[in-house]
Amino acid sequence: MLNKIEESINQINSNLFSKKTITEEIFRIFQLIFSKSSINIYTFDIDRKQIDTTLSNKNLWPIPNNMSRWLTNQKNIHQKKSLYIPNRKKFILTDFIQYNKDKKKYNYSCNDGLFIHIINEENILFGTIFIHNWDTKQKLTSVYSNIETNIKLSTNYIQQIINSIENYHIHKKIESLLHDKNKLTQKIYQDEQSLNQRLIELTTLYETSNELSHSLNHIEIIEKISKSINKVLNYDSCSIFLKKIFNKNELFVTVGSNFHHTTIKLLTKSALNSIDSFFSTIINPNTIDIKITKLNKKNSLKDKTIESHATVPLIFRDEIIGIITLESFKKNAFQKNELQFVHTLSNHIASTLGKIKIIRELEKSKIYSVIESIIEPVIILDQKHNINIINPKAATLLNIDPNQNITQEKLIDLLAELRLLKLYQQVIKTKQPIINEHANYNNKTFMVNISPVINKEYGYVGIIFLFRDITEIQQMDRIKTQRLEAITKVNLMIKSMSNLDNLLEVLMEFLLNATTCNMGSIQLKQKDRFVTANHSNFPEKIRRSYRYKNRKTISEKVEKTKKLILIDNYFSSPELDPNVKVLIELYLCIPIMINNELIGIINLARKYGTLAAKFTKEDIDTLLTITTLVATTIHNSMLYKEKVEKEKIDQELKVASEIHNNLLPKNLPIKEKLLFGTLNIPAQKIGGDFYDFIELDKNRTGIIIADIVGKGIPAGLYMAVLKSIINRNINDKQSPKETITQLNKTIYKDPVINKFVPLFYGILDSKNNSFVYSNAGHEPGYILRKNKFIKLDTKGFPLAGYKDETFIEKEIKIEDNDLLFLFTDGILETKIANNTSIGLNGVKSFIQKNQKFPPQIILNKIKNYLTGTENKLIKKDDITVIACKINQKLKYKNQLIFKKNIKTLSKITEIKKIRKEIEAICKTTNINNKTKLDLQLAVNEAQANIIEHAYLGDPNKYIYFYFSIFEDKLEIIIKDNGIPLKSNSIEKKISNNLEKLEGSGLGLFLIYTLMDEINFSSTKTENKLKLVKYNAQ
Amino acid sequence: MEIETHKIPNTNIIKINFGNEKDEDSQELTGTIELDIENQIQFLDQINSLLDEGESKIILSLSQISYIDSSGLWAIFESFKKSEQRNGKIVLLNPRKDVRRVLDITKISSKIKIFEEDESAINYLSEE
Repeated sequence: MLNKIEESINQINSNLFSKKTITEEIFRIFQLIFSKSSINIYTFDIDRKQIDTTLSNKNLWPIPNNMSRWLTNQKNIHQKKSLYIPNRKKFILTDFIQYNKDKKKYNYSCNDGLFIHIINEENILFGTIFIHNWDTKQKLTSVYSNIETNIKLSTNYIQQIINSIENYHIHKKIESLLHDKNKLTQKIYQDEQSLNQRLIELTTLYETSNELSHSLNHIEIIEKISKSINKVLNYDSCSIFLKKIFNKNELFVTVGSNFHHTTIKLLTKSALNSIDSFFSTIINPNTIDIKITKLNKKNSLKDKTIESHATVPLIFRDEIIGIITLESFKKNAFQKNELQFVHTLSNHIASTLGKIKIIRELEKSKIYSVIESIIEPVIILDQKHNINIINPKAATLLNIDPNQNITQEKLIDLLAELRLLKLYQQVIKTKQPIINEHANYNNKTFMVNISPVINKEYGYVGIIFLFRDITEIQQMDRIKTQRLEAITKVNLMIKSMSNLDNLLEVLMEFLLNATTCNMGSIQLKQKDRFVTANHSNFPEKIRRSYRYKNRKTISEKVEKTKKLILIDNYFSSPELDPNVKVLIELYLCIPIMINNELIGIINLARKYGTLAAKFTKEDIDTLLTITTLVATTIHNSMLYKEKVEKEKIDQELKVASEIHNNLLPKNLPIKEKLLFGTLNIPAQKIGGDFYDFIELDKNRTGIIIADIVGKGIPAGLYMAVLKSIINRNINDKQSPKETITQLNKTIYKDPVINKFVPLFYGILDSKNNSFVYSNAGHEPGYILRKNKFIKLDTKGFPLAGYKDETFIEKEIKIEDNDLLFLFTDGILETKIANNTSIGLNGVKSFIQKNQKFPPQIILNKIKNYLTGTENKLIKKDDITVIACKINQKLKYKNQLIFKKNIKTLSKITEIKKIRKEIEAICKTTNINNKTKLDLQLAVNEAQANIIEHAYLGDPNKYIYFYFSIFEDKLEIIIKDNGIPLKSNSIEKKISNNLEKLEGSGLGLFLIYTLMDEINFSSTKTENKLKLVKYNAQ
Repeated sequence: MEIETHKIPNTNIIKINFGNEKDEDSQELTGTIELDIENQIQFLDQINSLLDEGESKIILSLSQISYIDSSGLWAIFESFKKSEQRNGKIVLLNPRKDVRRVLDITKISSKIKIFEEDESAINYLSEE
């Protein structure tokens, strides 16, 4: 037996046996070792941890599950080489169901068993062998005298062959691994292939749907789709048919670039054939636009029979809108999954095309509604010269039924008739619009604009025609030209006429010609009546016979309504009186209006049977325009007539005014100790105030002031008479009372003067220092003495009142610095601020305030005060004031006391120098401090202004100062050669507004306030400022 | 022109004095000045710098000013306006008769308060 074992070991180890052979060999050996027992071999699949082969000499004992799990668990590293179970009942792994089954089956008294494990040194269990002797109902230990020897034999045997088993297993494993690897490689290859395909499909799908969503141009989309499909599957032709999605049936065929046209025809025909079956209605192949696109690839040219054919419908909203047909000359060219892709893609295509259709329809309807609302006719032609859109206006215009298709030929004919065909072709060619072309059709004139419609999305789409009916405008233009000519003619005519009668005559003639009338008249308003100023065969007698049945003439109706009346057919108007002098058919009556005021009426009549055109609205408009034009001229002529008359009066007034002025003294008397001043503001061009100075002798001056009631020419006339009477009656022997009495008598008898004459007469005696005066009802005189007013008045009625009126005279001693003043009542009523009269108190206080000034200056100031901007003088009455200052020191006027001329540079530092200079002059001439300061300030301000404004800060120019001190005044003249300044610009600058202190305003204000007289003059080379200050001492 | 400023004790009021020259020993101003086109800028600068330093209650003592022209008036009025913009106040103190007359003619006296005595000027400014 041992030999046999040895032999078996050698056998196994020297050969590479299959598992089965090894197992059988092990079984054979174990049958030798345990010859009397039941032997069960179980080999394991190590990887799967399960039993894979069994071998048994009797009925195989089914190894229980938990037992086999325990054994195959390779992690159980504590397996021994053998395991003897003396009592299964007590063995922990015993499956009692199996145990009971065995017990029943074998009916044994023994229940032992032996496991010999096929195990290697690393405790990997390759299988196990279970040995029992339940058939013989004997324990193993009793069957074999020394079971341990048997166990040892078997375990040794296993140990000897385990390497081979192991090897086998490794070998098996390698084999299996190799097999797996091949399988895997194959699998990977397959996967890769399908993945690539899938990837292409997905990418294509993604790209395509992306592109689809970006484009609105269906042709572009179809092109892309055809290319996309080509990426995924090999076709020889891809035909996409669209059923009237975009107005017509379209078939897009995509084929290889190298296909002969017969091949293409074949493919196309086949594609066309596949269409019909999808649609319920028959599609006429002739209505299908076919577009062939060649792919950028070459297809095999060998085959000529279409072997593969796939059709995928494009469905949008449950409706088949088109189909995709794929064809190939190869058999089984399209795989199922490829077609699946086409299917998926078709859904995208369908929805995109459907969307585009909706968008286009929407846009078209938008465009259409826009175009429909355009008043002007609009037509849009598509690329194929079909009318795409035509608005109702255009349809009417061109006699086209918008609901009926117009053939291309008809359209071309129409364009040719409009003479627009060439232009249309030009626009198509150049894609540049042509505008403002004239076209005629059906007696109408149009302005036509032809523009290409180029859309960002679709590119060039078509041509738009925009018509503008200018028939009326042209007609209007013609009429306007006519009217303009007529108006120009009239205008020229009236310009050349200044005489109203001439004008009316020419106008009459023109109107008769223009209206083809034979009779006419022009009535003009004179006071409240409309008098015929000119007529042609149409005297009032005849005119008045054309009337309404209520006896009102047509002209009278126009007078009332101020509206034009046109009677087209006189005798067919029932409200008109048919009883007329001359038979007429037309009567036109036009009001001549100026600013809504009726100043005249034009009557025009056309005799019965005159050949003439009917009056149009335009004709009437023209007439109205002419009338309006003429109205102004007529009005002007009428006014001119009036003006000439008025001018006559004005001329008379002017002469009278000159006489009046000549009646008043031109020069003031020059007397020792006396200083005079006068003021005369006539209310009208000629006044009624009179005054005079009469030099009676060396010391005596007669002063006379009178106010003749009334104004204007009569008053002036009276004054002239008065002056001559006075001149005749005044002499140096008579006292004022005597003179006045005599004047009264003369004037009373005078045939011209029939009015009362209030008159004041006084004699100023500078030797006796007295003033003798007599008042004949005039305003009293006043003397301002030591700030108090002394009234100079005597009782008496104005001259020419009573023949034997007795007058009184009074005498007042005059004192040094007395200020005598006389005035007529005009000044008292002069309105000043708040619409109140200045009154006697106002006059007095003004004089009082200004008493220090020489009389003429006071009166100038009064004049400024009364006529200044603040107190707008209302010239109600003449204003006359006489003033006289008594100054005992005053011997000669303008006696120069001191004179000095200074020249300085236009430097700011020189200002102080001049100030010092004035200080010195005033000291020398004994001028008081206040006056000195006023002078310094005024001169300094003037100097600063010159430096700043005339010389613009240039310090190298010169300023000249001329100081002259007189008895009664100081005079400073300042000259410069700077920029000429306008005197009014200076006045504008004067400001005492503190907010506007900047600039020279305040300085000028100071000058004007501090000085009594300011005189500025300017030449191109020199500015001259004269400052005067009175009462220097 | 010499300008001297000092704070009235226990107040935030600045008083400005003018003079021709400064006494070396006593540091007091003596002599009169004429405020005109020549020194208006110097005057304005002085007041401006005070206003910029935050002083807003200022008494301008005019007693030593013997003459003023429109430039001087403008300078005073500018300072006054500027102080008002900063919620401050400038008052004039004790102008000479001639200067007073010019202030009246130009109606500056109706816009800027004029006081004869320090105390009333200080009281007026302290009331604010």
